[in-house]
Order: sequence, then C-alpha cells, then structure tokens
Amino acid sequence: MDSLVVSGLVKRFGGVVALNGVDFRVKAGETRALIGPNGSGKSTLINCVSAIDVWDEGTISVEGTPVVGKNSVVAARRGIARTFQTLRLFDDMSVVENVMVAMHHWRQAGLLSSILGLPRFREDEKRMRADALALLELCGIAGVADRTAATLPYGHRRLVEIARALAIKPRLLLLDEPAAGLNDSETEELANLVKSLGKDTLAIVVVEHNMDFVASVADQVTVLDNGSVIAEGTPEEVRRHPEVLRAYLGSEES
Amino acid sequence: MKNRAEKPTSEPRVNFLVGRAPRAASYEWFLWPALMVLAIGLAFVVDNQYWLQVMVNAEVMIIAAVGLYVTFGLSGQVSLGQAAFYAIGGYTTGLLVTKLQWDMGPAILAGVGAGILVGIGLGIPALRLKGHYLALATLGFGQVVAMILINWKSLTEGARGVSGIAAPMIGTFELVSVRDWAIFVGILAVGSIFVVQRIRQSTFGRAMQAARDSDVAATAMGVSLPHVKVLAFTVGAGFAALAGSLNAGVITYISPGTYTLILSVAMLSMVVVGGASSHWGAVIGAVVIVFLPEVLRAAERFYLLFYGVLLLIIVAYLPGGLWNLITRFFRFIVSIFSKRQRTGLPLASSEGN
Repeated sequence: MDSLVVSGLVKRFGGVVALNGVDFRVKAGETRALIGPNGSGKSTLINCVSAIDVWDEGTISVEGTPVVGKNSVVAARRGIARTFQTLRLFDDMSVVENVMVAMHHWRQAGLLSSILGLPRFREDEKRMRADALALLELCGIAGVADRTAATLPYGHRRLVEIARALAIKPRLLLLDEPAAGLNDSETEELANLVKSLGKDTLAIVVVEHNMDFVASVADQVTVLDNGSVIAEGTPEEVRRHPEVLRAYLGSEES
Repeated sequence: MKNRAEKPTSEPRVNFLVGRAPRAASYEWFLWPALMVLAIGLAFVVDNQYWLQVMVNAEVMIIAAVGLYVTFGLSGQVSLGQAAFYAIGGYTTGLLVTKLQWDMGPAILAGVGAGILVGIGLGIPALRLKGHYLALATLGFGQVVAMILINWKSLTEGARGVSGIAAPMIGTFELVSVRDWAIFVGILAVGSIFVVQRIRQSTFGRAMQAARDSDVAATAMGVSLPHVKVLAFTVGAGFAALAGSLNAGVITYISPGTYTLILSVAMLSMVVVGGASSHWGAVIGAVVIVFLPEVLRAAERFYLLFYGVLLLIIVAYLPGGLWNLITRFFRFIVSIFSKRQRTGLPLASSEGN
C-alpha cells in the first residue's frame, strides 16, 4: 500500500522551476532515500509534503487523503512528521519539553484544568513525560532529558529533532539531511536508529548526501536533478545508473 | 544506540541545577503557602501608610507584570500597550461602581472580562505582526485608548477623571483601609503568580515557548500558532486589566494621566529588568521598578538620572535580567558545595545559560 503519493508536482520560485512535475511514491513500511545534487529540489519537495510550502501544480496525498499546502498543523496532526536540515529546536526549553511540544494536540486537559492542576492535567503530564522519555531512550539521549536544548552538543541536537518528530506518532517521517555534520560513529548510530524505525508500517523519506548512510538505511532510492526524477531503484542500481553519474560527476563516463 | 548515555562523551550527572530547565518540584507545596503568609504578613508588619501604599502598588504591578511575562516572555510578543488594558480594567471598574452602583467585586470581574475581550480583539490582528511592528501597533493602540479616555467626556469625564470609586466588595463585606487592600491584592498577586506558573508548565505554556523559539518547527509539530499567540496575548491583557481594576479600587480615583506610554514602558521594563525567561523575573522586576524611585528619592533631582543609569546597566550587562543573576549566584553556591563533596569528578560548566 502506498503511504505517500506525489504526482506531477510543480513548484516555481518566481522564474525558477524548483520542481518540474515530480512523481514520487513511498510504500508503507518503506524507507526511501531522496538524493540529488545541491539545488535539485529535495528540500523543496520535503517542504511541500510537510505542507510548510504551497505548490503550483500537482497533488500530494498521504494514505489516500490529499495534503493541503501551507497547512502544516493539520499535516502534523495527520501523522506527517519532519526534521529540519538546519536545526530548529526550541532552544530555551529542556530536551524532554521539546519532545512534549509535539504531543500538544493530544492533551485531555483544557486551560482551566491545567491551571487548577486537576487529575486530568496531571495524567496528561505524566503520560507525555513518560512517552517523551521513552522516545529519548530510543534515540539514545535519555541522559540529557532535562538539559536545555541550546546547551547540547550538535550530535545530540540532531537526535532531539528526530525524537521530537517521532512524538507526533508519525505515519510518514521526513528526515531532511539527518546525518549532516555528524561524525562516523554518530552516523552509524543514526543509521541503526533509522533502520529500527523502518521495521513496521512507518514510511520514511530520508534526504541525504552521504551515500554509505543511504545504502545502509534505504530500501529504495529516488534521485532528483534540476527538479525532475532522473532515476529510481535500490541503492546499488542507482549507484550505477548513468544518469545519476552524469548528474553528480558531470560526465557520462563512470 | 541505547548505550550512548553511558559513554564518557555524554554529560556527567553531577550537574544538578546546572543547565537544567525548570519543572514542577516538590517544594511547591511549601512555596505557595509561604508566599501567601509573606503577602499577608507584610501587610501587618508594615505600619507606615505611605509604604503600605507603595507595597500595594508593587503587588498590583506584579499582577500586570506576570501577565505580560506570558505575552512577552513565553510567547515572544512585544506589547507596548499594556497601559491600555490597565486603563480598560480601571475604567470599567470605576464607571460601574460610580455610575451603576455595582459592588466592587463584580466590577473588578467585569474589568477583567473587558480586558480579555479587548485582548482577543487586538490579539487576532496582532497575529500578522512581529517584533518592532507589533510593538508599534500596540503602542498605537495604547495612544488610541488614552485619546478615547480624554475625549469621550460623557462617559469618562475626560481629563478630570472619575473619583469616589468606593463600594463594598460584595454584599456587606468591605475593604476599608489600605491594609485591607494590601491583604486582598497580596493574595491576588500570589494567585496570579501561581496561575502563570501553571500556564507555563502546561502544554499551553510549552506551545507558547515553541512558537516563540521557532514558529516553523512549532507548526510542523502541530502547534496552531494563532490559537497559542492569541491566548498568550489575552492572558497578558486580562492580568493587566485585573491590575488596573484593583488599582482603581485601591486609590478610588482614575484619570487618563495614569495610563500613558510611560506606564506601558515601565511594565515592559519590569519583565526585561527582572528577566524575561521566568515569571519570577517579572515579579522581581515589578518590585524593583516600583520601589526604586522611592529608594532613590533621597537623591532628589538626580533620581531620574540614577534610575536611568541603573536600568541601562541591567539591560546592557545582565541580558537575562536580575533573575538570571540570582539563579547564577545560587548555582555558584551549589557548585561550591558539590565540588567539596565530589572532588575528582569533572564539574560541568555553568556557562551558557
């Protein structure tokens, strides 16, 4: 079953065509890497799917329901989660609170019961904190749960982004360059984490430049160049694809 | 993956209080009753009418400042129009008591209600504005309200103001002396701090902070910015109106001259000087800004100079405000003790927060 279906997506920035009729499918439980040279439209595609941007033509649907542009709140509540290439943590909050923000819309307690500290509010807090700590544990950063996000080392901050995205209980997880700036051992741990997430029905899209990382986590790879899909297949197939080599190396020779 | 936290590169667990974000703690059951006792006790201990009045002023300003903390500190919306909400509370209460012979209690509640309604009404268009533009828009709103107070003479008595705002609180229960009011306002001030702390620790407070730190990430996590921002703005307006209503009741007289830009700026500087990262900062800022002119009065005509220089020093050299200074000092004391107890363990840096 297809989780994400993007068809004929066109996105223009003024005269620049960032996405030129992109067709893109991700099955439930599949981890699909999205690769391509800088400026090929990867982040633009992610921004459209997560409904942060609007697009000009084409449709996006997740689990059969269309996604409406510029409406990322609704998208998030439907289970479309994402991380950001440039970290966007809530810097002045603790790590566990960062994760709890993403559980905002499941609260049982209204403003008044929160102020009065009614049992409903206390249960909310207890459950959200426990869930958030479990996610931090899963991502291997439970030890820094009560630290202020801004004081964490970079590698940990990357993982907080992922834990926070997981907190909305995603059906589709969009990771925008999750390994950027990580060292080799951190990248390997991240790969293990992403692989463990992709085991059930969660569909994952990973934008990434690091081909070793892509090869280790992705079932399928889609290659974008100049706003169009130029190749699709397993990591091995894509690696040998002449179009891909041309796009990356600027020559038809390998 | 799971062993990351046990690696030597991860943070040692010695740094309690260092770099940690606040959360509900067990001392709260002691804290609130203690603050209540302090507020009521102070009203009895201070037996000078003048200082009692200054104390009530400080408590009124605490209420307005913790409200503005929600608007500015938590959700990052700069408001330079808090005096207008203060005026709306004051005039609603004052006019209901003098013209319609309402009791003080219901009139205060009506004042808060009016402040909340106007807060929603201004908070919604304010969604389109950020930073300096929002500051300018709220400043303009404050000027408009001040103009209305002066010019709508049939209702507000114009520049003469409304006097004789005195009525029983409810039924036969009446606050007569300044001391009575000090107790009443003190209890409400502690209650306001409590409410704001609860808002901060709830999902709503977290959503406000998220919207402040990164609006894109907040919406991508399902936080509805319009809801959260209007709520924060309205909370600030409601507390400012409550403060204004209480002020009208305490001094029994209101006039447009009170509700100027200077008051709005003073309220904002309470939050900034005290430290916008915590509601305790707003509390300390309110107390300092109200008492400073009194303390500096000895300097006579130089007092504004001292006042201005002090504010400058705080803003320039203490970006986290007085609260930050206090918590840093507290952490320093704690670190001395934990150093003695755990020699040999690396002490985590207390910088950066």
